[in-house]
Amino acid sequence: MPVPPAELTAELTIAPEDDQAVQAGRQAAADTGLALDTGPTTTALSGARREVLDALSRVLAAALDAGATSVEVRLEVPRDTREHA
Amino acid sequence: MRVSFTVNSEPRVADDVWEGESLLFVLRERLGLPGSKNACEQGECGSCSVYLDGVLVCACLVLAGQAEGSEVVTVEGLASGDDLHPVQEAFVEAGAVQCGFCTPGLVVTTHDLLRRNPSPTDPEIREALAGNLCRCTGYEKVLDAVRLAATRGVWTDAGDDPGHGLPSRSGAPRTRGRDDTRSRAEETGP
Amino acid sequence: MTVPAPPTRQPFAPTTPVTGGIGESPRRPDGSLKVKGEFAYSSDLWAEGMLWGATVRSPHPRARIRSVDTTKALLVPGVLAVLTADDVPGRKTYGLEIPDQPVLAWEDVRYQGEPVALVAADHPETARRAADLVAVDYEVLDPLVDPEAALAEGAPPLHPKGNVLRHIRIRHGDQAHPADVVVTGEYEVGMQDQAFLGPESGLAVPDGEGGVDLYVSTQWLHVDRDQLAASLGLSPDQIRITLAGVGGAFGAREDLSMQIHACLLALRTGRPVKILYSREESFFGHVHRHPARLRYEHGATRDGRLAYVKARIVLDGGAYASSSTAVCSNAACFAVGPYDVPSATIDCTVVYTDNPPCGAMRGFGAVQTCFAYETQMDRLAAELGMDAVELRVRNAMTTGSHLPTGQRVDGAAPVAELLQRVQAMSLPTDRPAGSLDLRTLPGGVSNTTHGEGVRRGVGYAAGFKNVGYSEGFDDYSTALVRLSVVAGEPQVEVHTAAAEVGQGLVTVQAQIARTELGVERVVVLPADTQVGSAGSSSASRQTWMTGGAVKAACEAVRDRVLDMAAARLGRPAADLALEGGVVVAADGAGPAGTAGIDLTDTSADVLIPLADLLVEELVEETREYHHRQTRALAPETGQGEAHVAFAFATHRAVVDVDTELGLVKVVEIATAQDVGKAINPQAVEGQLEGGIAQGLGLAVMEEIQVVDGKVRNPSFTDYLIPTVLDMPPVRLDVLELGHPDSPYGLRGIGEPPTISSTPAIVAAIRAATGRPLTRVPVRPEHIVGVPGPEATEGPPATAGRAGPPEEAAAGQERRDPDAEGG
Repeated sequence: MPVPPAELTAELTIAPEDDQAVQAGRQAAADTGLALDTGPTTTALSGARREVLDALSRVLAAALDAGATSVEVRLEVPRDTREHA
Repeated sequence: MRVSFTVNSEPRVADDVWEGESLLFVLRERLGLPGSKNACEQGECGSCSVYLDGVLVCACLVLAGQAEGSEVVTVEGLASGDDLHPVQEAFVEAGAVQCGFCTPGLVVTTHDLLRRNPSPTDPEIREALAGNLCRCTGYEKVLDAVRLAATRGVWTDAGDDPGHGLPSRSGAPRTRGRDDTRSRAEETGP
Repeated sequence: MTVPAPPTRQPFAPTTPVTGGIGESPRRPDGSLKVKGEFAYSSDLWAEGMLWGATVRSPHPRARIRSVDTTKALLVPGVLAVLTADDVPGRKTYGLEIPDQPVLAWEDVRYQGEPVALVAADHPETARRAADLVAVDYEVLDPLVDPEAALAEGAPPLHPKGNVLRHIRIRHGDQAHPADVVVTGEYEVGMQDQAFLGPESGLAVPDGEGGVDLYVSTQWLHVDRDQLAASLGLSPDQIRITLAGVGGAFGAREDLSMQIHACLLALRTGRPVKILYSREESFFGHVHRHPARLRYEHGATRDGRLAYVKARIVLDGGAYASSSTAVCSNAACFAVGPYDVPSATIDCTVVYTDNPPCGAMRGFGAVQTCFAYETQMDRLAAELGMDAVELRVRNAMTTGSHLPTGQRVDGAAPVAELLQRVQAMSLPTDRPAGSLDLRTLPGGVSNTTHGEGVRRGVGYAAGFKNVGYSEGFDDYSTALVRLSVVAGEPQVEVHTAAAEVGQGLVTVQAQIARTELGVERVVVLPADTQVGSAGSSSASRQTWMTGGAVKAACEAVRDRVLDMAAARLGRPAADLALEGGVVVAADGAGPAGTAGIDLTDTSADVLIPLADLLVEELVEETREYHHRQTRALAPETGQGEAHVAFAFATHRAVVDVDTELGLVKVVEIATAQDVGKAINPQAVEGQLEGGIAQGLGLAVMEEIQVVDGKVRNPSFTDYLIPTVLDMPPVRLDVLELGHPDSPYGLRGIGEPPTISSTPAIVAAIRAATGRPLTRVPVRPEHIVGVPGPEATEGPPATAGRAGPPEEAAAGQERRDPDAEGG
């Protein structure tokens, strides 16, 4: 019995993998209170749209400051199951 | 190894059986008889109940090799063609079937109870079915089904049920309908 | 590559038509197959070339994975694949509400039994042995197992978001409400398990084009599919799920178990893969009921009116979120019980720990609070010198009452009547003096007593919860109904994705179609994702939601058919109806478009048989059914119209207790429940009786015992579910009081039986023993030490009567030193 799903989820994959950048990004994400780990190199921010977008820029900044050479961001608006009837 | 035994009056053979396989596994996975279930595979739930040479057993606790040369009867062997056995019919009618996972085991156990004791009292029914777990029904309608089947009995006093493929019990001691070492008090209660 | 054939043992394709419309109790369409052993459960599926999957699981509740070495496992003859987290192509986590749970752990292990790797082999024993050869190098860490510790300042965060998964705050009414009498208590509910009999199982068949067909036992096909799509990196239409036979669910199949795993192995090997859990593995393979600690304070006036209720509830969510956020909300919303109270202060928190993950189980948070608030009500009654039933009746909700969330209760809320009905039922007779039948005594034929030391007690309880989903979720179900002519007779096919898990939904769907379309032959097709979502078989919602969708689709079909008939006959469609497979003149007797429910009545004039009207044509309609809108709870006050509807039940339990050994025999359970409208009365009874059994289990025997994060009893030997010897006769009083905005006026029925049955039984044990019993399941050691009946004269002690037995419920019960920390 789910509560309403998050309004927006932003999934970030930070490169290079074995580097400060991933750690810094993870830490910054954790500090926002919206984070969950969805893979070894991916972190997701999940919540209300405005909060997620604000948090996203802080996390990106932290990762870039720590030397990230690329960050893949995937935004997902939770899909209503009816679309694929 | 190769295992040969009779199942539901038909001679069956299973090849390439690993020695550690249970009778339950061979019935389900090699002989195309998945009616007996695997709810615990440790003898606690009764969902794998079958007859082995006329005796009610948990098939999960019988190694396939132990059944070599035996006569096995499973839930699939109780119906006559398209006609349900009276026990099976009673279970459906009484609403004793919900998810149904426990049902084959209960049907076989009930079949065994009624052929030994055609008119069991409620306490006797409960004792006989105590080795069969059900999670859906709370047992009320299972008891209704057993009582219903008993009223429709095709059971003879000899302890076996002609026409349903069970091996005769000649030579085996007759089981009495009641346990004489216990009080004959009827169950009290509503 | 040859495309594997579909399973040779197919999921249930019903061929037995259902007879009987709504309000009758026709035979289940799957009943004959089930009693013959021919009904294909997910564990019965078999396909040519099938491989068996096995799961490598962490033995440690908390660890860090240093490395996973699969080389030895891969060398075992017969092994075709060994997979780890690296092999998950899409999102590496999944989850019902929050995708925080790894498909396969890659770094952190957060509970004992967490999956780390997968093996596919050509024999299940080969797969198991190969799984043992997967070498995982764990850095074993100390698990965080105490929810209070997890909540405390400075606790190590188990997830990036921290340890508080959700906190619900409800503030209702004047927070400083005066009271004459105050009762406080601390209660504990242990971890119950759904313990469905059919193990987790399914068969994944790759389609040769990158997609996969999955045959599985589950509760919500479409939500499974969405999670599968995300983790497999496929689009949803590349994944087709068909419901295989389900051996019970009770909430444990809402979360994924082996679905992604089997599909990963199937797609990797190009062969069908079956995964089937053993019973032991099953205890690790699904979520459990949230253990809870509840602290309550009830204030009342001298004349027995509730003034306020304060509750602080902590739920142990375990390692991953599952549906914990919703369980937390439910526990909070239903923390007071079916009573009017002017002031409520409720704080409910669900936390992460390294204990086994918890999630949905029948009752969903309302079970835990009911035990606490009903115990409080008994203690309040004792404090006031009032009869415990009378106290409840005096405060009982009625239509127009308000929840502590401010929501008004619409429709019937017959709490007082339900209490009075169970109280009015005659009590079972005492055991006859002088004759000894061990089978009627606690301990039974174990011969532990001949009646000495045995005392009888009676207890009452009332409970309620919501039916359906909450907090603004737009829940719906979809149904496709098709009317055609087959072999000269009209036939209706009903197609939904609704999961039949044993409750009888498949029968109800057919009954509705039969009533609405007046056609005798109705067939319910296998549930799959080829039709729109039906939502979950949970929250007591399916008869309402899928029933509503089937009804709506039938109405649409009927409208089209009557339009066709109108055109053919030159009469207005409004003058026509369907009955007995023919078009007749409407006589106004039944709902619009039907001539009433009596399908055997052949007295109406036949205008044209359906077979002649339709001939080769088929009429097919698909409809979605949504319930009315609900709203979120406000963050600071918890106020909001969060629920669709409510369901109420009461229970009375009679127990005999061997006070010297602490053994309990439940002698009888009586219940009264309002079901709105009984679509299938026999199935309704089955749900009430089955739910009571699970309530009995929680009261006296069921607990997953977790110590330091490890499960000590993952088997039916040590996790005891009631047998036929444990369950007593059940007396039912089923009310059908209707409901304003549901199909046929029905309400959900499946959960209330598990909610107030537990506290009624414990109340009865308290009455028999005088022990405070603040924890469930009640254990023998909580009971012993009470003087036997030789020391006191008089009739059996009843919780419903004033005058507590000798050792009154004062002071704290001694803490059980063996109680688990979780």
